[in-house]
Amino acid sequence: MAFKPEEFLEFAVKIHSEPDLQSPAGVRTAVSRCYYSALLMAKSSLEHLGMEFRRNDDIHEDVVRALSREHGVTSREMVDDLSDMNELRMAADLDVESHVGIDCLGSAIAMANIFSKDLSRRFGA
Amino acid sequence: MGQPRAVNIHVSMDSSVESTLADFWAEAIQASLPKEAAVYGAPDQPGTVPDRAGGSLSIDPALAAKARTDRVYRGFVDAIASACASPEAESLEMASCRLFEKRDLERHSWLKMILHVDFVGGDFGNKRRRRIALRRILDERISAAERNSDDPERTGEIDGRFFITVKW
Repeated sequence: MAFKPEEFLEFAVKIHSEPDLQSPAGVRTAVSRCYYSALLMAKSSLEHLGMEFRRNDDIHEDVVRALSREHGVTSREMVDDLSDMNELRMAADLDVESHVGIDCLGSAIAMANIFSKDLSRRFGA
Repeated sequence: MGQPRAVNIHVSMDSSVESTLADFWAEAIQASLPKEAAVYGAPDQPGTVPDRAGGSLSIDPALAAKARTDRVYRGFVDAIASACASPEAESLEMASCRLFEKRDLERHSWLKMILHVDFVGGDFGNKRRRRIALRRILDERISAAERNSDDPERTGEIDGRFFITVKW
């Protein structure tokens, strides 16, 4: 059975709700998973429209471009949310000097939830 | 829209001379710009634009340098600077905002333009609502600049790579 990207978000919510799991590595991992949950959900929705995506690092740009191209300015909020989550993800994954705390995780989860609802509204469940 | 005077300076100099030239450069550019347009600053300094909201738009030196020489970028950056200094943006209470271009850290190839905004106060939902409002203001200004321009090179390419991110 294929992995469901929503499980990444569920994992992040679990980290956010259980203080014992909120080590720096746990919080950073959860922030990163929020982005990938959103990215993969968007990719799946767009694939259902018949789009195909490369299996490499271009996926970040390709999904954003596809969202922008398919829905124009009406999807700007979604694209900005995805971009924000990617910024937080890069800080969590790549920048050891940056502050990535529980507040960042809360924002990442909130954005991922909003993004998921927007996807459902625009593309169907 | 006024264009900066083309000045090519490539010379070794001590710091005092460099400072004088930097001041000259900043003044020359500022004098050529309409009110409320971006001030791109000296080549090694970020540009700024006065902001009635109390914050200021900071333009990354690399982007400012590109805007000085590329009229398409200049038009786009001016539209953003104008929007950030507008009365509509005033109510959004931006502590600061920074405009810059960046490459994807993992691919080293994807150029995108980002306006990173720090709003004063507010929880997540409040900040996100203000970001959405700011996006509308910016889109209107960018569209207006597009309509008022007869420059055939002004395309949606930059707009398609323009993101607003928020300091959460």
